[in-house]
Amino acid sequence: MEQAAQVSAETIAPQRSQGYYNLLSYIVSNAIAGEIMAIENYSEMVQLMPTVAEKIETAHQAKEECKHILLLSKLGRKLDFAVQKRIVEPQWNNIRKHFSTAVGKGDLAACLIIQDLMTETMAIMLYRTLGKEVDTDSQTATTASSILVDELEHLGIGIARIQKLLEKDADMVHDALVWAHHRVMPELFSMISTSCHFLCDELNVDCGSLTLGDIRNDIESLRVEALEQYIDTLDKVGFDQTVTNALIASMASYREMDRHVLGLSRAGSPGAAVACCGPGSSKSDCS
Amino acid sequence: MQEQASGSVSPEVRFEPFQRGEGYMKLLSFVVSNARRGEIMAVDNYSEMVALMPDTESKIATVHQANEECKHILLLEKLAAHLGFEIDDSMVEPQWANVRAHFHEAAKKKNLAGCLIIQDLMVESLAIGLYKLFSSASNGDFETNRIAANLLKDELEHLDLGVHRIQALMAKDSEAVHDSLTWAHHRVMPNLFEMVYESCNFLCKTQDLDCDTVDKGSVAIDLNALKVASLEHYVDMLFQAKFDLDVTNQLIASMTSYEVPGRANLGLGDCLRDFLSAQSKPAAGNA
Repeated sequence: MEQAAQVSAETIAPQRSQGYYNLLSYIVSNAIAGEIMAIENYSEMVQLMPTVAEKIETAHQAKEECKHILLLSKLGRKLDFAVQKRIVEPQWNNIRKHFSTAVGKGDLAACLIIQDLMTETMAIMLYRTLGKEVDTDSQTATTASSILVDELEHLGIGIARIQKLLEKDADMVHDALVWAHHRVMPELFSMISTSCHFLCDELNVDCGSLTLGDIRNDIESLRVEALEQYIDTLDKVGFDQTVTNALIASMASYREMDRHVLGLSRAGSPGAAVACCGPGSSKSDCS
Repeated sequence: MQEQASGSVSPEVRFEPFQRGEGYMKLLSFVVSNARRGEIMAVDNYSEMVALMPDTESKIATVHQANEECKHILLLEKLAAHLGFEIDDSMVEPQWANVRAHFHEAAKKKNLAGCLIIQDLMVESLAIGLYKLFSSASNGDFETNRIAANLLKDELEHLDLGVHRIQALMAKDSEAVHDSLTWAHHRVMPNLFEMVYESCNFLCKTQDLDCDTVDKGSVAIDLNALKVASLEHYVDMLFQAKFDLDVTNQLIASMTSYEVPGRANLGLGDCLRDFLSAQSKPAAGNA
């Protein structure tokens, strides 16, 4: 059942514009892709866990991510929008590849940083955004809020685990952070966008028409929020600030990241809809 | 196949209070410590297999299997705590590590058939043999019997799922699956059988316990019976999965070499010859 789940006859969607449902279709499909990646990441990490209790806890985290996929798919059915239940956008596969590299090296710290900290931080930002009923709708908000509880818990577990590793070998953990940051954060931030590589085609959605205005939001605000969430996570773990400051500064080089997002200049005008970056599009179309 | 735990004891049946001697507790400690180790390996194996699964539904099913194995670990630990014996890692046989290493090798080669054959078919066959023995009507130890029956139900489901998955793979590429079977058989089965075969010697060496003379009260726990039972389940599984008989017959015949000269003869060779002659009739019919 890998086709985009088609709408059922019995739907209870509130009256919103088609643009709103297209946007939800796009966001929820991308969220499902992130959850699929999370299932694989947590599952692959089990073998690195040093104790039986931690193996069980990690297998349980994978199970929770499975539950999220089912909840998001159900939301699509209820609200009558299509969802894709497989990874489409290449960034997820890239992150997954980096994670697998870390597993191959037996680098538990890097695995935890990629999945429990970086990916969960972005998930928290996403589900917080969708969880605002005033901007979305009651069913989307309920589903997102329910998932958010789990993701916050996963972040908490990740922070505790990394802190334990920091106590044992701070240098090694900071090396893992630097490596993971440079590999993964550009991929994650590039997904804070309404542009895509292939997803809109798969969903039969007009990519150019997607606008975050439909959920009373804009790209730049989301990027600021994601950055703040990421900084907050790094601070909560208690990483060395000389290391984290350099990492945050390095994010100014991301194509998607305007200087003002990093607080280096005043904010500009809110982002408008961005053209779809299909396979035939040029790179400049995607910024 | 939803085989019920044959001979399992229903909660309504009345039992005489069961007296467990020191030797019997040591024997239980040995068996449960090893069963738990097998379950821990299963958590690692199923979790590592998730990434190889071809679609989201089968990934979710595999995460679910890993979580069931987690539940088994907790049940076994609870049994030990309830009856008052130790889970003792010094009693864990070394072959578990070899089986896990071979699985990991298959996973690294992205050999899904090899992974399924090792975990879903071979290891589950051994687990079924063990839990059937402990859940049989002849086992008067009610608590042990009940837990074993509980675990048996899940393991039978896992075997069933594995058989279906292997059959689906065989429909696509029978030759590759049979190559995986041959590889996995020669790598894993000697380890699994050595473990079962050596169990009494291992106990004798490490715990100064003769499992033949230990006072088991009214319990009919015969580790020798487990040797034959595990073999039966393995052979039965090979036929159930509908592997090519030309291949499986060779594999079964090769197992007579596991009963090395000088070791107490359990009639394994006779048993295998019986299997082969019994199966030769349907084989002729199929041809």
